[in-house]
Amino acid sequence: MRDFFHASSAELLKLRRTLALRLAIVAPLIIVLLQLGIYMVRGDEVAEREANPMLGYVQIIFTLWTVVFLPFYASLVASLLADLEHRGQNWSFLLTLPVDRRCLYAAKWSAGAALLLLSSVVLWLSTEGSAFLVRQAHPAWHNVAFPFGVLTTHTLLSLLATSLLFSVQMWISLRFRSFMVGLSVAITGILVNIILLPHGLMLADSLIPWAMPATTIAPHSPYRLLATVWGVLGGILTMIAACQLMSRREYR
Amino acid sequence: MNSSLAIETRSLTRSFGSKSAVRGLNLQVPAGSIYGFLGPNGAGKTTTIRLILGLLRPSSGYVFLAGREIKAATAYQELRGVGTLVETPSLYANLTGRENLEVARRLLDVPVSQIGTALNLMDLTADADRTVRSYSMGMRQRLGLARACLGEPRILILDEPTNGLDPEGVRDLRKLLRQLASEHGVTVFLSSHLLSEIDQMAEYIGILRQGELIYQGELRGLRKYQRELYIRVDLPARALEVLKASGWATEAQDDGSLRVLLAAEPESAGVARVLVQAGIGVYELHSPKPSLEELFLQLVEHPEVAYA
Repeated sequence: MRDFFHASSAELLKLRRTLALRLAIVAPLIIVLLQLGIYMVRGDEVAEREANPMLGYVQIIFTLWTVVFLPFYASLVASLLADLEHRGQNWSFLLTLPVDRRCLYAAKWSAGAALLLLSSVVLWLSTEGSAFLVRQAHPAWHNVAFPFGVLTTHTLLSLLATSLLFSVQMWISLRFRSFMVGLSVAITGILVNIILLPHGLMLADSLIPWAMPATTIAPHSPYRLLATVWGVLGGILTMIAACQLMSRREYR
Repeated sequence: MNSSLAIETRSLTRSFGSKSAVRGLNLQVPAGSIYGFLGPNGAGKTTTIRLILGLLRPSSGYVFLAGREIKAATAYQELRGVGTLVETPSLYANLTGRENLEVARRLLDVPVSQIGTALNLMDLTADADRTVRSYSMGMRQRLGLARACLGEPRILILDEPTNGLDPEGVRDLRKLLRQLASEHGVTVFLSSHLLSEIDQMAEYIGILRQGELIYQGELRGLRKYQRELYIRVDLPARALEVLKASGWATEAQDDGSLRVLLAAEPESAGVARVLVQAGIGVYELHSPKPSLEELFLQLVEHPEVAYA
Protein backbone atom coordinates (compact mmCIF):
# COMPACT_ATOMS: atom_id res chain seq x y z
CA MET A 1 0.00 0.00 0.00
CA ARG A 2 2.94 2.29 0.78
CA ASP A 3 4.29 1.71 -2.71
CA PHE A 4 0.89 2.58 -4.16
CA PHE A 5 0.68 5.89 -2.32
CA HIS A 6 4.20 6.84 -3.29
CA ALA A 7 3.55 5.91 -6.91
CA SER A 8 0.22 7.78 -6.95
CA SER A 9 1.85 10.85 -5.53
CA ALA A 10 4.51 10.66 -8.27
CA GLU A 11 1.81 10.18 -10.91
CA LEU A 12 -0.04 13.30 -9.79
CA LEU A 13 3.18 15.30 -10.05
CA LYS A 14 3.73 14.01 -13.58
CA LEU A 15 0.44 15.60 -14.64
CA ARG A 16 1.86 19.12 -14.40
CA ARG A 17 1.76 21.02 -17.70
CA THR A 18 0.15 18.10 -19.51
CA LEU A 19 -2.53 18.23 -22.17
CA ALA A 20 -4.50 15.67 -20.17
CA LEU A 21 -4.74 18.05 -17.21
CA ARG A 22 -5.68 21.04 -19.38
CA LEU A 23 -8.35 19.02 -21.15
CA ALA A 24 -9.88 18.02 -17.81
CA ILE A 25 -10.88 21.67 -17.48
CA VAL A 26 -11.33 22.66 -21.10
CA ALA A 27 -13.42 19.69 -22.32
CA PRO A 28 -16.42 20.21 -20.00
CA LEU A 29 -16.17 23.97 -20.43
CA ILE A 30 -16.49 23.65 -24.21
CA ILE A 31 -19.87 21.93 -23.90
CA VAL A 32 -21.16 24.26 -21.24
CA LEU A 33 -20.05 27.38 -23.10
CA LEU A 34 -21.69 26.14 -26.31
CA GLN A 35 -24.90 25.46 -24.46
CA LEU A 36 -24.69 28.79 -22.65
CA GLY A 37 -24.24 30.63 -25.95
CA ILE A 38 -27.30 28.97 -27.48
CA TYR A 39 -29.48 29.57 -24.43
CA MET A 40 -28.41 33.19 -24.09
CA VAL A 41 -29.81 33.76 -27.56
CA ARG A 42 -32.84 31.43 -27.47
CA GLY A 43 -33.58 31.24 -23.74
CA ASP A 44 -37.01 32.96 -23.89
CA GLU A 45 -38.09 30.78 -26.78
CA VAL A 46 -37.18 27.62 -24.84
CA ALA A 47 -38.93 28.84 -21.68
CA GLU A 48 -42.18 29.24 -23.61
CA ARG A 49 -41.93 25.77 -25.10
CA GLU A 50 -40.83 23.66 -22.12
CA ALA A 51 -42.41 23.12 -18.73
CA ASN A 52 -39.03 22.85 -16.98
CA PRO A 53 -36.46 24.45 -19.25
CA MET A 54 -33.69 24.10 -16.67
CA LEU A 55 -34.03 20.31 -16.73
CA GLY A 56 -33.72 20.38 -20.53
CA TYR A 57 -30.69 22.62 -20.20
CA VAL A 58 -28.93 20.10 -17.94
CA GLN A 59 -30.08 17.12 -19.99
CA ILE A 60 -28.64 18.49 -23.25
CA ILE A 61 -25.30 19.22 -21.62
CA PHE A 62 -25.13 15.69 -20.21
CA THR A 63 -26.21 14.09 -23.46
CA LEU A 64 -23.31 15.73 -25.27
CA TRP A 65 -20.99 14.94 -22.35
CA THR A 66 -21.83 11.25 -21.99
CA VAL A 67 -22.33 10.29 -25.63
CA VAL A 68 -19.18 11.84 -27.08
CA PHE A 69 -17.04 13.96 -24.78
CA LEU A 70 -16.67 11.73 -21.72
CA PRO A 71 -15.92 8.47 -23.60
CA PHE A 72 -13.48 10.32 -25.84
CA TYR A 73 -11.85 12.26 -23.03
CA ALA A 74 -11.48 9.13 -20.87
CA SER A 75 -9.84 7.33 -23.81
CA LEU A 76 -7.63 10.30 -24.54
CA VAL A 77 -6.55 10.53 -20.90
CA ALA A 78 -5.58 6.86 -20.96
CA SER A 79 -3.55 7.34 -24.13
CA LEU A 80 -1.90 10.55 -22.92
CA LEU A 81 -0.94 9.08 -19.53
CA ALA A 82 0.53 5.97 -21.11
CA ASP A 83 2.29 8.09 -23.71
CA LEU A 84 4.11 9.99 -20.95
CA GLU A 85 6.00 6.75 -20.26
CA HIS A 86 6.17 5.34 -23.78
CA ARG A 87 7.50 8.53 -25.39
CA GLY A 88 10.43 9.06 -23.07
CA GLN A 89 11.12 5.32 -22.72
CA ASN A 90 10.44 5.91 -19.06
CA TRP A 91 9.54 2.28 -18.41
CA SER A 92 13.24 1.45 -18.29
CA PHE A 93 13.46 3.84 -15.34
CA LEU A 94 10.17 3.04 -13.61
CA LEU A 95 10.49 -0.72 -13.81
CA THR A 96 13.98 -0.72 -12.34
CA LEU A 97 12.86 1.01 -9.17
CA PRO A 98 12.35 -0.87 -5.93
CA VAL A 99 8.58 -0.43 -6.24
CA ASP A 100 6.02 -3.19 -6.81
CA ARG A 101 5.17 -3.00 -10.49
CA ARG A 102 1.47 -3.61 -9.83
CA CYS A 103 1.47 -0.43 -7.75
CA LEU A 104 3.13 1.52 -10.55
CA TYR A 105 0.37 0.49 -12.95
CA ALA A 106 -2.41 0.95 -10.40
CA ALA A 107 -1.09 4.47 -9.74
CA LYS A 108 -1.55 5.24 -13.43
CA TRP A 109 -5.20 4.30 -13.05
CA SER A 110 -5.53 6.50 -10.00
CA ALA A 111 -4.07 9.50 -11.88
CA GLY A 112 -6.53 8.94 -14.72
CA ALA A 113 -9.39 8.58 -12.27
CA ALA A 114 -8.34 11.86 -10.63
CA LEU A 115 -8.49 13.62 -14.00
CA LEU A 116 -11.94 12.19 -14.76
CA LEU A 117 -13.11 13.29 -11.34
CA LEU A 118 -11.72 16.78 -11.95
CA SER A 119 -13.48 17.05 -15.31
CA SER A 120 -16.76 15.95 -13.69
CA VAL A 121 -16.38 18.54 -10.95
CA VAL A 122 -15.67 21.23 -13.57
CA LEU A 123 -18.77 20.10 -15.49
CA TRP A 124 -20.91 20.19 -12.34
CA LEU A 125 -19.72 23.66 -11.36
CA SER A 126 -19.82 25.16 -14.83
CA THR A 127 -23.29 23.79 -15.55
CA GLU A 128 -24.56 25.36 -12.38
CA GLY A 129 -22.74 28.63 -13.04
CA SER A 130 -23.93 28.86 -16.63
CA ALA A 131 -27.53 28.11 -15.58
CA PHE A 132 -27.29 31.03 -13.16
CA LEU A 133 -26.20 33.31 -16.03
CA VAL A 134 -29.07 32.10 -18.26
CA ARG A 135 -31.50 32.76 -15.46
CA GLN A 136 -30.14 36.27 -14.98
CA ALA A 137 -30.37 36.99 -18.70
CA HIS A 138 -33.97 35.83 -19.19
CA PRO A 139 -36.79 37.01 -16.92
CA ALA A 140 -38.92 33.98 -17.93
CA TRP A 141 -36.40 31.73 -16.15
CA HIS A 142 -36.37 33.59 -12.87
CA ASN A 143 -38.78 31.28 -11.15
CA VAL A 144 -37.53 28.04 -12.66
CA ALA A 145 -35.98 25.74 -10.06
CA PHE A 146 -32.51 24.43 -10.76
CA PRO A 147 -32.40 20.58 -10.75
CA PHE A 148 -29.46 20.09 -8.39
CA GLY A 149 -30.45 16.49 -7.74
CA VAL A 150 -30.50 15.58 -11.42
CA LEU A 151 -27.21 17.39 -12.04
CA THR A 152 -25.50 15.62 -9.14
CA THR A 153 -26.91 12.19 -9.99
CA HIS A 154 -25.99 12.53 -13.66
CA THR A 155 -22.46 13.66 -12.77
CA LEU A 156 -21.88 10.87 -10.30
CA LEU A 157 -23.43 7.98 -12.25
CA SER A 158 -21.83 8.90 -15.56
CA LEU A 159 -18.45 9.18 -13.86
CA LEU A 160 -18.82 5.78 -12.18
CA ALA A 161 -20.07 4.13 -15.38
CA THR A 162 -16.96 5.40 -17.19
CA SER A 163 -14.72 3.17 -15.04
CA LEU A 164 -14.91 0.14 -17.33
CA LEU A 165 -14.23 2.02 -20.55
CA PHE A 166 -11.36 3.87 -18.89
CA SER A 167 -9.85 0.61 -17.60
CA VAL A 168 -10.08 -1.03 -21.01
CA GLN A 169 -8.56 2.02 -22.69
CA MET A 170 -5.82 2.27 -20.08
CA TRP A 171 -4.88 -1.37 -20.54
CA ILE A 172 -4.72 -0.98 -24.31
CA SER A 173 -2.70 2.24 -24.06
CA LEU A 174 -0.18 0.75 -21.65
CA ARG A 175 0.10 -2.44 -23.63
CA PHE A 176 0.68 -0.82 -27.04
CA ARG A 177 3.22 1.93 -27.57
CA SER A 178 1.34 3.40 -30.50
CA PHE A 179 -0.99 6.23 -29.52
CA MET A 180 -3.25 5.29 -32.42
CA VAL A 181 -4.23 1.84 -31.12
CA GLY A 182 -6.06 3.22 -28.09
CA LEU A 183 -7.65 6.05 -30.02
CA SER A 184 -8.83 3.73 -32.82
CA VAL A 185 -10.54 1.49 -30.28
CA ALA A 186 -12.12 4.54 -28.64
CA ILE A 187 -13.43 5.99 -31.89
CA THR A 188 -14.88 2.61 -32.88
CA GLY A 189 -16.56 2.27 -29.47
CA ILE A 190 -18.01 5.77 -29.64
CA LEU A 191 -19.31 5.20 -33.17
CA VAL A 192 -20.99 1.96 -32.05
CA ASN A 193 -22.58 3.94 -29.24
CA ILE A 194 -23.84 6.64 -31.61
CA ILE A 195 -25.27 4.00 -33.97
CA LEU A 196 -26.99 2.05 -31.18
CA LEU A 197 -28.33 5.00 -29.23
CA PRO A 198 -31.26 6.03 -31.49
CA HIS A 199 -32.50 2.44 -31.59
CA GLY A 200 -33.28 2.37 -27.90
CA LEU A 201 -31.27 -0.80 -27.28
CA MET A 202 -30.85 0.14 -23.67
CA LEU A 203 -29.76 -3.29 -22.43
CA ALA A 204 -27.02 -3.44 -25.06
CA ASP A 205 -26.02 0.13 -24.25
CA SER A 206 -25.77 -0.70 -20.58
CA LEU A 207 -23.23 -3.45 -21.33
CA ILE A 208 -21.00 -1.79 -23.93
CA PRO A 209 -18.30 0.20 -22.10
CA TRP A 210 -18.34 3.23 -24.45
CA ALA A 211 -22.17 3.47 -24.24
CA MET A 212 -22.54 3.01 -20.50
CA PRO A 213 -22.09 6.65 -19.43
CA ALA A 214 -24.94 7.71 -21.75
CA THR A 215 -27.20 4.97 -20.34
CA THR A 216 -26.90 6.45 -16.86
CA ILE A 217 -28.53 9.74 -17.87
CA ALA A 218 -31.50 8.22 -19.71
CA PRO A 219 -34.55 9.35 -17.72
CA HIS A 220 -36.61 6.48 -16.30
CA SER A 221 -34.33 3.84 -17.84
CA PRO A 222 -34.35 0.59 -15.86
CA TYR A 223 -30.74 0.02 -16.88
CA ARG A 224 -29.17 3.06 -15.25
CA LEU A 225 -28.18 1.12 -12.16
CA LEU A 226 -26.97 -1.87 -14.20
CA ALA A 227 -24.70 0.40 -16.29
CA THR A 228 -23.34 2.03 -13.15
CA VAL A 229 -22.72 -1.17 -11.20
CA TRP A 230 -21.29 -3.01 -14.22
CA GLY A 231 -19.15 0.03 -14.98
CA VAL A 232 -17.65 0.18 -11.50
CA LEU A 233 -17.20 -3.56 -10.98
CA GLY A 234 -15.97 -4.15 -14.52
CA GLY A 235 -13.61 -1.23 -14.19
CA ILE A 236 -12.08 -2.51 -10.96
CA LEU A 237 -11.79 -6.10 -12.18
CA THR A 238 -10.25 -5.01 -15.46
CA MET A 239 -7.79 -2.81 -13.61
CA ILE A 240 -6.72 -5.64 -11.29
CA ALA A 241 -6.32 -8.07 -14.19
CA ALA A 242 -4.42 -5.50 -16.25
CA CYS A 243 -2.04 -4.58 -13.41
CA GLN A 244 -1.34 -8.24 -12.74
CA LEU A 245 -0.67 -9.08 -16.38
CA MET A 246 1.30 -5.91 -17.13
CA SER A 247 3.55 -6.47 -14.13
CA ARG A 248 4.64 -9.80 -15.61
CA ARG A 249 5.45 -8.40 -19.01
CA GLU A 250 9.02 -8.03 -20.13
CA TYR A 251 10.31 -4.66 -21.20
CA ARG A 252 12.33 -4.97 -24.40
CA MET B 1 27.16 -16.93 -5.01
CA ASN B 2 30.12 -14.82 -3.96
CA SER B 3 29.41 -12.09 -1.40
CA SER B 4 32.40 -10.00 -2.53
CA LEU B 5 30.70 -9.57 -5.88
CA ALA B 6 28.22 -6.76 -6.39
CA ILE B 7 26.90 -8.26 -9.62
CA GLU B 8 27.19 -11.87 -10.61
CA THR B 9 25.61 -13.86 -13.38
CA ARG B 10 25.84 -17.59 -13.81
CA SER B 11 25.41 -19.26 -17.17
CA LEU B 12 23.08 -16.43 -18.09
CA THR B 13 21.41 -17.09 -21.41
CA ARG B 14 18.66 -15.28 -23.22
CA SER B 15 17.25 -16.14 -26.63
CA PHE B 16 14.80 -14.28 -28.81
CA GLY B 17 13.21 -16.93 -30.98
CA SER B 18 16.02 -19.02 -32.39
CA LYS B 19 18.62 -16.27 -31.89
CA SER B 20 20.70 -16.21 -28.73
CA ALA B 21 21.31 -12.65 -27.60
CA VAL B 22 23.38 -13.70 -24.58
CA ARG B 23 24.98 -17.12 -24.09
CA GLY B 24 26.30 -18.66 -20.89
CA LEU B 25 27.39 -15.35 -19.40
CA ASN B 26 29.37 -15.54 -16.17
CA LEU B 27 29.86 -11.94 -15.13
CA GLN B 28 31.73 -11.22 -11.93
CA VAL B 29 31.71 -7.59 -10.88
CA PRO B 30 33.72 -7.02 -7.67
CA ALA B 31 32.04 -4.83 -5.06
CA GLY B 32 33.36 -1.28 -4.98
CA SER B 33 34.98 -1.48 -8.40
CA ILE B 34 34.40 0.33 -11.68
CA TYR B 35 33.61 -2.32 -14.25
CA GLY B 36 33.62 -1.44 -17.94
CA PHE B 37 31.33 -3.53 -20.09
CA LEU B 38 32.43 -3.47 -23.71
CA GLY B 39 31.27 -4.97 -26.93
CA PRO B 40 30.44 -4.00 -30.48
CA ASN B 41 26.90 -2.96 -31.40
CA GLY B 42 24.54 -5.91 -31.13
CA ALA B 43 26.91 -7.88 -28.89
CA GLY B 44 24.24 -8.14 -26.20
CA LYS B 45 25.28 -5.41 -23.73
CA THR B 46 21.86 -3.83 -23.34
CA THR B 47 20.17 -7.24 -23.19
CA THR B 48 22.58 -8.18 -20.39
CA ILE B 49 21.80 -4.99 -18.48
CA ARG B 50 18.08 -5.61 -18.88
CA LEU B 51 18.51 -9.15 -17.61
CA ILE B 52 20.45 -7.90 -14.60
CA LEU B 53 17.72 -5.39 -13.80
CA GLY B 54 14.86 -7.85 -14.24
CA LEU B 55 13.44 -6.05 -17.27
CA LEU B 56 13.93 -9.30 -19.19
CA ARG B 57 13.69 -12.85 -17.93
CA PRO B 58 16.62 -15.18 -18.64
CA SER B 59 16.02 -18.27 -20.79
CA SER B 60 18.35 -19.97 -18.32
CA GLY B 61 20.91 -19.00 -15.72
CA TYR B 62 20.92 -16.72 -12.71
CA VAL B 63 21.53 -13.12 -11.76
CA PHE B 64 22.70 -12.03 -8.31
CA LEU B 65 22.83 -8.46 -7.06
CA ALA B 66 24.81 -7.98 -3.87
CA GLY B 67 24.55 -11.73 -3.34
CA ARG B 68 20.77 -11.94 -3.73
CA GLU B 69 19.18 -13.67 -6.66
CA ILE B 70 17.10 -11.53 -8.99
CA LYS B 71 13.88 -13.11 -10.13
CA ALA B 72 11.76 -11.10 -12.56
CA ALA B 73 8.58 -11.29 -10.48
CA THR B 74 10.20 -9.95 -7.34
CA ALA B 75 13.15 -8.10 -8.88
CA TYR B 76 11.93 -4.81 -7.47
CA GLN B 77 12.65 -5.97 -3.93
CA GLU B 78 16.31 -6.54 -4.77
CA LEU B 79 16.67 -3.29 -6.66
CA ARG B 80 16.76 -1.09 -3.59
CA GLY B 81 20.22 0.40 -3.54
CA VAL B 82 20.66 0.13 -7.30
CA GLY B 83 20.77 3.30 -9.42
CA THR B 84 20.24 2.93 -13.13
CA LEU B 85 20.56 4.77 -16.38
CA VAL B 86 19.52 2.50 -19.21
CA GLU B 87 20.13 3.78 -22.74
CA THR B 88 18.86 7.34 -23.24
CA PRO B 89 17.92 9.13 -20.02
CA SER B 90 14.19 8.63 -19.67
CA LEU B 91 12.78 11.90 -18.42
CA TYR B 92 9.49 13.76 -18.35
CA ALA B 93 9.87 16.66 -20.77
CA ASN B 94 6.87 18.52 -19.30
CA LEU B 95 8.49 18.67 -15.86
CA THR B 96 11.44 20.73 -14.66
CA GLY B 97 14.71 19.09 -13.71
CA ARG B 98 13.83 19.41 -10.04
CA GLU B 99 10.37 17.94 -10.60
CA ASN B 100 11.86 14.98 -12.46
CA LEU B 101 14.01 14.27 -9.44
CA GLU B 102 11.00 14.79 -7.19
CA VAL B 103 9.10 12.08 -9.11
CA ALA B 104 11.99 9.69 -8.47
CA ARG B 105 12.30 10.84 -4.86
CA ARG B 106 8.64 10.12 -4.15
CA LEU B 107 8.95 6.68 -5.69
CA LEU B 108 12.12 5.91 -3.78
CA ASP B 109 10.82 7.50 -0.59
CA VAL B 110 14.06 9.30 0.22
CA PRO B 111 14.54 12.69 1.93
CA VAL B 112 13.90 15.88 -0.09
CA SER B 113 17.42 17.08 0.74
CA GLN B 114 18.84 14.48 -1.66
CA ILE B 115 17.40 16.40 -4.61
CA GLY B 116 19.59 19.43 -3.89
CA THR B 117 22.60 17.20 -3.38
CA ALA B 118 22.02 15.37 -6.66
CA LEU B 119 21.50 18.62 -8.59
CA ASN B 120 24.66 20.03 -7.09
CA LEU B 121 26.58 16.88 -7.88
CA MET B 122 25.71 17.19 -11.55
CA ASP B 123 26.05 20.98 -11.67
CA LEU B 124 22.39 21.44 -12.55
CA THR B 125 21.26 23.69 -9.73
CA ALA B 126 21.05 26.80 -11.93
CA ASP B 127 18.85 25.04 -14.49
CA ALA B 128 16.82 22.96 -12.06
CA ASP B 129 13.62 24.97 -12.50
CA ARG B 130 13.55 24.92 -16.29
CA THR B 131 11.45 22.31 -18.03
CA VAL B 132 13.46 19.41 -19.37
CA ARG B 133 12.03 20.14 -22.82
CA SER B 134 14.52 23.01 -23.05
CA TYR B 135 17.52 20.95 -21.86
CA SER B 136 20.37 20.01 -24.16
CA MET B 137 21.26 16.35 -24.62
CA GLY B 138 24.18 16.72 -22.22
CA MET B 139 21.98 18.30 -19.54
CA ARG B 140 19.44 15.51 -19.89
CA GLN B 141 22.22 13.00 -19.49
CA ARG B 142 23.44 14.74 -16.35
CA LEU B 143 19.92 14.85 -14.97
CA GLY B 144 19.54 11.12 -15.69
CA LEU B 145 22.76 10.54 -13.77
CA ALA B 146 21.59 12.78 -10.92
CA ARG B 147 18.44 10.68 -10.73
CA ALA B 148 20.46 7.47 -10.76
CA CYS B 149 22.37 8.80 -7.73
CA LEU B 150 19.21 9.49 -5.70
CA GLY B 151 18.78 7.16 -2.78
CA GLU B 152 22.55 6.77 -2.35
CA PRO B 153 22.78 3.54 -4.34
CA ARG B 154 25.39 0.89 -3.58
CA ILE B 155 25.44 -0.20 -7.20
CA LEU B 156 25.22 2.07 -10.24
CA ILE B 157 24.36 0.47 -13.56
CA LEU B 158 24.94 2.92 -16.37
CA ASP B 159 24.39 2.26 -20.04
CA GLU B 160 26.42 4.66 -22.18
CA PRO B 161 26.56 7.38 -19.50
CA THR B 162 28.85 9.70 -21.46
CA ASN B 163 26.43 10.02 -24.40
CA GLY B 164 25.89 13.67 -25.23
CA LEU B 165 28.29 14.98 -22.62
CA ASP B 166 30.84 17.60 -23.63
CA PRO B 167 34.52 16.94 -22.79
CA GLU B 168 34.20 18.84 -19.53
CA GLY B 169 31.11 16.85 -18.59
CA VAL B 170 32.90 13.60 -19.40
CA ARG B 171 35.82 14.62 -17.23
CA ASP B 172 33.52 15.56 -14.35
CA LEU B 173 31.63 12.29 -14.68
CA ARG B 174 34.85 10.34 -14.64
CA LYS B 175 35.91 12.15 -11.50
CA LEU B 176 32.53 11.59 -9.87
CA LEU B 177 32.40 7.87 -10.65
CA ARG B 178 35.93 7.38 -9.37
CA GLN B 179 35.04 9.28 -6.22
CA LEU B 180 31.86 7.24 -5.70
CA ALA B 181 33.82 4.02 -6.07
CA SER B 182 36.85 4.94 -4.01
CA GLU B 183 35.30 7.05 -1.24
CA HIS B 184 31.84 5.56 -0.91
CA GLY B 185 32.45 2.01 -2.04
CA VAL B 186 29.84 2.26 -4.80
CA THR B 187 30.12 -0.37 -7.50
CA VAL B 188 29.89 1.19 -10.95
CA PHE B 189 28.95 -1.04 -13.85
CA LEU B 190 29.09 0.90 -17.07
CA SER B 191 28.76 -0.01 -20.66
CA SER B 192 30.24 2.33 -23.19
CA HIS B 193 31.40 2.40 -26.74
CA LEU B 194 33.94 5.08 -25.80
CA LEU B 195 36.89 2.82 -25.11
CA SER B 196 39.12 5.70 -24.08
CA GLU B 197 36.67 6.49 -21.30
CA ILE B 198 36.63 2.92 -20.04
CA ASP B 199 40.42 2.91 -20.35
CA GLN B 200 40.66 5.88 -18.00
CA MET B 201 37.99 4.82 -15.55
CA ALA B 202 37.59 1.08 -15.25
CA GLU B 203 39.66 -1.28 -13.16
CA TYR B 204 37.86 -4.34 -14.45
CA ILE B 205 36.43 -4.97 -17.85
CA GLY B 206 34.25 -7.52 -19.55
CA ILE B 207 34.23 -7.83 -23.31
CA LEU B 208 31.21 -9.26 -25.01
CA ARG B 209 31.19 -10.60 -28.53
CA GLN B 210 28.11 -12.11 -30.15
CA GLY B 211 26.54 -12.68 -26.75
CA GLU B 212 29.58 -14.38 -25.23
CA LEU B 213 32.08 -13.03 -22.76
CA ILE B 214 35.47 -13.25 -24.45
CA TYR B 215 37.44 -11.47 -21.74
CA GLN B 216 36.80 -10.60 -18.14
CA GLY B 217 39.25 -9.41 -15.58
CA GLU B 218 41.47 -6.54 -14.62
CA LEU B 219 42.22 -4.04 -17.32
CA ARG B 220 45.95 -4.27 -16.59
CA GLY B 221 45.64 -8.05 -17.00
CA LEU B 222 44.42 -7.53 -20.52
CA ARG B 223 47.52 -5.52 -21.29
CA LYS B 224 49.66 -8.54 -20.46
CA TYR B 225 48.34 -10.09 -23.62
CA GLN B 226 50.90 -8.22 -25.67
CA ARG B 227 50.28 -9.17 -29.24
CA GLU B 228 52.68 -7.35 -31.48
CA LEU B 229 56.45 -7.22 -31.65
CA TYR B 230 58.28 -5.06 -34.18
CA ILE B 231 61.87 -6.05 -34.95
CA ARG B 232 64.70 -4.63 -37.02
CA VAL B 233 67.36 -7.03 -38.20
CA ASP B 234 70.25 -7.07 -40.65
CA LEU B 235 68.71 -9.87 -42.77
CA PRO B 236 64.94 -9.28 -42.91
CA ALA B 237 64.17 -11.91 -45.57
CA ARG B 238 66.11 -14.60 -43.69
CA ALA B 239 64.51 -13.56 -40.38
CA LEU B 240 61.04 -13.80 -41.94
CA GLU B 241 61.76 -17.41 -43.00
CA VAL B 242 63.20 -18.37 -39.61
CA LEU B 243 60.36 -16.93 -37.61
CA LYS B 244 57.69 -18.45 -39.83
CA ALA B 245 59.45 -21.79 -39.62
CA SER B 246 59.41 -21.44 -35.83
CA GLY B 247 55.62 -20.98 -35.88
CA TRP B 248 55.25 -17.24 -35.37
CA ALA B 249 52.89 -15.32 -37.62
CA THR B 250 55.28 -12.78 -39.14
CA GLU B 251 54.96 -10.22 -41.87
CA ALA B 252 57.34 -7.75 -43.47
CA GLN B 253 56.57 -4.05 -43.08
CA ASP B 254 57.14 -1.37 -45.72
CA ASP B 255 59.89 0.23 -43.65
CA GLY B 256 61.92 -2.98 -43.63
CA SER B 257 60.96 -4.06 -40.14
CA LEU B 258 59.09 -7.26 -39.28
CA ARG B 259 55.86 -7.54 -37.33
CA VAL B 260 55.45 -10.67 -35.22
CA LEU B 261 52.18 -11.67 -33.57
CA LEU B 262 52.69 -13.23 -30.15
CA ALA B 263 50.36 -15.15 -27.91
CA ALA B 264 52.02 -13.86 -24.74
CA GLU B 265 54.59 -11.28 -23.77
CA PRO B 266 57.37 -13.74 -22.65
CA GLU B 267 57.57 -15.00 -26.23
CA SER B 268 59.54 -11.83 -27.11
CA ALA B 269 62.61 -13.39 -25.56
CA GLY B 270 62.10 -16.55 -27.61
CA VAL B 271 61.94 -14.55 -30.83
CA ALA B 272 65.23 -12.81 -30.01
CA ARG B 273 66.89 -16.13 -29.12
CA VAL B 274 65.82 -17.86 -32.33
CA LEU B 275 67.06 -14.97 -34.46
CA VAL B 276 70.43 -14.80 -32.72
CA GLN B 277 70.86 -18.57 -32.96
CA ALA B 278 70.20 -18.28 -36.72
CA GLY B 279 73.05 -15.78 -36.96
CA ILE B 280 70.82 -12.81 -37.62
CA GLY B 281 71.80 -9.47 -36.13
CA VAL B 282 68.98 -7.89 -34.11
CA TYR B 283 69.04 -4.08 -34.02
CA GLU B 284 65.76 -3.39 -32.32
CA LEU B 285 62.91 -5.15 -30.57
CA HIS B 286 59.95 -2.91 -30.02
CA SER B 287 56.67 -3.82 -28.45
CA PRO B 288 54.25 -0.85 -28.51
CA LYS B 289 51.83 -0.55 -25.65
CA PRO B 290 48.45 -1.01 -27.30
CA SER B 291 45.51 1.18 -26.42
CA LEU B 292 42.37 -0.43 -25.08
CA GLU B 293 40.85 0.20 -28.48
CA GLU B 294 43.54 -1.85 -30.18
CA LEU B 295 43.24 -4.64 -27.62
CA PHE B 296 39.48 -4.56 -27.91
CA LEU B 297 39.58 -4.81 -31.69
CA GLN B 298 42.08 -7.65 -31.53
CA LEU B 299 39.92 -9.53 -29.07
CA VAL B 300 36.73 -8.94 -30.98
CA GLU B 301 38.15 -9.59 -34.42
CA HIS B 302 40.67 -12.33 -33.58
CA PRO B 303 39.67 -13.96 -30.31
CA GLU B 304 41.57 -17.10 -31.35
CA VAL B 305 44.87 -15.17 -31.41
CA ALA B 306 44.09 -13.51 -28.13
CA TYR B 307 43.77 -16.79 -26.34
CA ALA B 308 46.14 -18.89 -28.40
